[in-house]
Amino acid sequence: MNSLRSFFNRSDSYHGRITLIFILLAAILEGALVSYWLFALEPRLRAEASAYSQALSTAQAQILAFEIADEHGRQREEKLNLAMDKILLFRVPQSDKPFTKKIRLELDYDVVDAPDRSLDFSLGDDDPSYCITVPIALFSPTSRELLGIAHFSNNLDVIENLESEVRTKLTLASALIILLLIVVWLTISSLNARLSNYASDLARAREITNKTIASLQDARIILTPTGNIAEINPYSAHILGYNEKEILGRHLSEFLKESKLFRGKHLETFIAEKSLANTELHFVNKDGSLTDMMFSAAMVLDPEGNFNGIICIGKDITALNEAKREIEDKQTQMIHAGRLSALGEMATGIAHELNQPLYIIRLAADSLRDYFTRNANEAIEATDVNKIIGQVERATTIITNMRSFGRADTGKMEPLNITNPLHLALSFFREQFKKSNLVLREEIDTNLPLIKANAQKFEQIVINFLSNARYAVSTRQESEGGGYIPTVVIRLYQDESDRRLIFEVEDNGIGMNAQELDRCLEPFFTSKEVGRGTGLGLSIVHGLVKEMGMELVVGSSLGKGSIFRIFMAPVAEG
Amino acid sequence: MHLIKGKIAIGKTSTWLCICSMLLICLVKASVAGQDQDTHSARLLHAGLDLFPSFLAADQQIADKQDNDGNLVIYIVHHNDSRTAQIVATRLLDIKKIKGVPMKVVIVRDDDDDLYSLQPAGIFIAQPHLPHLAAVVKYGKQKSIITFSPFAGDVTLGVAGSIAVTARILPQVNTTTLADSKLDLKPFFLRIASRYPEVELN
Ligand SMILES: Nc1ncnc2c1ncn2[C@@H]1O[C@H](COP(=O)(O)OP(=O)(O)OP(=O)(O)O)[C@@H](O)[C@H]1O
Ligand SMILES: [Mg+2]
Repeated sequence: MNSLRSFFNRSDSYHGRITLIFILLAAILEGALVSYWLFALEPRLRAEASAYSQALSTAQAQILAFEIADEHGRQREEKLNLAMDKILLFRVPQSDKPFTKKIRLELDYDVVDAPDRSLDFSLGDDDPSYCITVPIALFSPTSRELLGIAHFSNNLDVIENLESEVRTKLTLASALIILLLIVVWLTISSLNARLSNYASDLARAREITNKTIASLQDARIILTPTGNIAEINPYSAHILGYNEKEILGRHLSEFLKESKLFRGKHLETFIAEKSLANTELHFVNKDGSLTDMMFSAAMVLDPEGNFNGIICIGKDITALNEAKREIEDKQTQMIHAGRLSALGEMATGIAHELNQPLYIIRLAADSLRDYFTRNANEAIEATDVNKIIGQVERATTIITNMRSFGRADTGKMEPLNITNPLHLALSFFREQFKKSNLVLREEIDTNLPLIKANAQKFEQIVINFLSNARYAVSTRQESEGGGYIPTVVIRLYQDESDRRLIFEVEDNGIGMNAQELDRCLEPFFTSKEVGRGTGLGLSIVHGLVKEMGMELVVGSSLGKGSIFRIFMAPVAEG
Repeated sequence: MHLIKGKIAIGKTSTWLCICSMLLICLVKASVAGQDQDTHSARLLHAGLDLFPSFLAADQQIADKQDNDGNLVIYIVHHNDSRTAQIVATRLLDIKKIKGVPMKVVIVRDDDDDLYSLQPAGIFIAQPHLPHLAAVVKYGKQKSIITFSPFAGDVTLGVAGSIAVTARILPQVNTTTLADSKLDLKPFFLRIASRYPEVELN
């Protein structure tokens, strides 16, 4: 907008300059005409008029000389007067004014035979204004001697007429010139106005184009015919992490993993084929990371058809590529999960099959124990039987767990006191925590309303939370030791405001970073080393929570601990 | 071939014809110009003849310049045009007297030294571009007499009197020569005469 306004200003000043030039031109022309009149035409007219009047008067003077020289003629004075009168009679044809207004004689009485000054006549108008006075020599027609001088006062009206006529013509001509100048000036002004309109349209169009191009989130790079960067848009510089100055003039391939691009052979083939379409290139950013770009390039030709440069348009496809990679990862994970679920089914089958032999072992072991009890046998075998029974019990729990995992989605929902499955699940952990010197605090309210849920599923949720918490605190203990007290807190209580039951497991373990927190619910996401975690735990929890219409909220702070919270709506009373 | 030859021949003759006619035209033109020059000189001569007596009459010391026989001797100087000199002599003698003193004309050649022995009262140059004009002018100055030439340009070479032809014909005086030759012309005459060198009248 600013540039537009300055453009208009410029055109205004241009218009002003043109006007000034025209005014100057008019002044110069008028000045030239006036000075031509004053210094050339008028003096020449006057000189010519004077020459003519001299010539005419010379001719007329002859008769006067004749009369003066006629010494012996009678009535010389009278004849001379008559001759002078006759001359005074002549008129200018155009104005009907006397040609000669006055004649005055001045004779040389040494030559003229007459009393002194007796013939120095003066005839005509006594005040001959606007006249030109010419002295004419009077020579004697016989002796050729100089008789005297006749002063002719000749009327300047003749040239006055001529002068005024020429002046009128000159004035007309100058008026015409000025008129012509005004017409030309008007034409130029209107042309100028139209031109500046076009220019402003053009400027606006260019601005729109530039804005459009600038707003496109595309890399736009213009190369010289040798492949050096001649122009780069801010967007490209921005994604590469450089500023424009660092890039300009350098060869494009310096910024590419594909260092042969637009060099040597490649440049030749490019010129031969004239364009490069949708090629994936990898730009090395300033920080060393890569930006993937879908790149197209075309030759720029000047109006004569000479190779003038290369224009390159690129699209940042880094994010796209990442998404693609992720999808690929997910696909392999899905295959893995499929395999796992098959494994799970198999495990459930195995568990079922193992139940029979375990049951028989248990029965046998029980009767053995009974036998030893009855005989009050305190031998080593008696304690061994107890060991057998303990291990069978353990194996049974494992199998029960496996079977419940397998049954997961078939369980029925019923109103239940949630503390029951909770205690059941906790029973697995209390001993373990104690052994490993981990603090397990239970803050479980009583007299809570019933919840519509599936007991096994809830149990599974608790088990998963606790096993994760145990892992988190013990890992932190391993790395820290010393004054660290690994603590896991279990809470079950009713929210005052919305009457929902809240179950939470809080630990002061290793915690999660933002990315881990973000992804911890995803199936197969695990931060554990290979082989130690499946990454399925929390995803199963997530699935179960959703299935039972509950809500799960996870909070964590890296190095400080995590909290997993489940909100459960109580069964409507009555 | 023949044709071409013929053409060349025609071309040659026509070229010659062209050159000849051009030469002829040039000659004719030159002679016409010469004739023009002659008629102009003749006119100046006649105008000069009209004015020359007024110069003599204006000379205030003219009465003292009579020869021993009481005549005013006027030299008519030419170089090789005695015919014109003769015409001038006849015309001048039409005016028999200047201020009452009878006139006598003598025709002399500009390079004829012997005749300068006479006592002239004035000199009339009767031929333009006189080769020995300078000597004549010098002589006029020595004798303190008027040297008059009607021909344009002679006044710049020092002749005392000439004519100025514009819209009318006026006597012209070379003021330097007048001063050098101690010639005393009537003030009345000087008033209407044109002067050389021209004086700025401011
Ligand atoms: N209490 C916790 N403290 C810190 N990180 C946790 C906690 N619970 C879960 N996580 C993070 O969430 C990830 C996913 O947990 P999840 O239970 O789904 O799988 P896992 O525990 O890694 O594997 P598995 O459950 O098969 O042993 C864990 O790897 C861990 O990084
Ligand atoms: Mg887990």
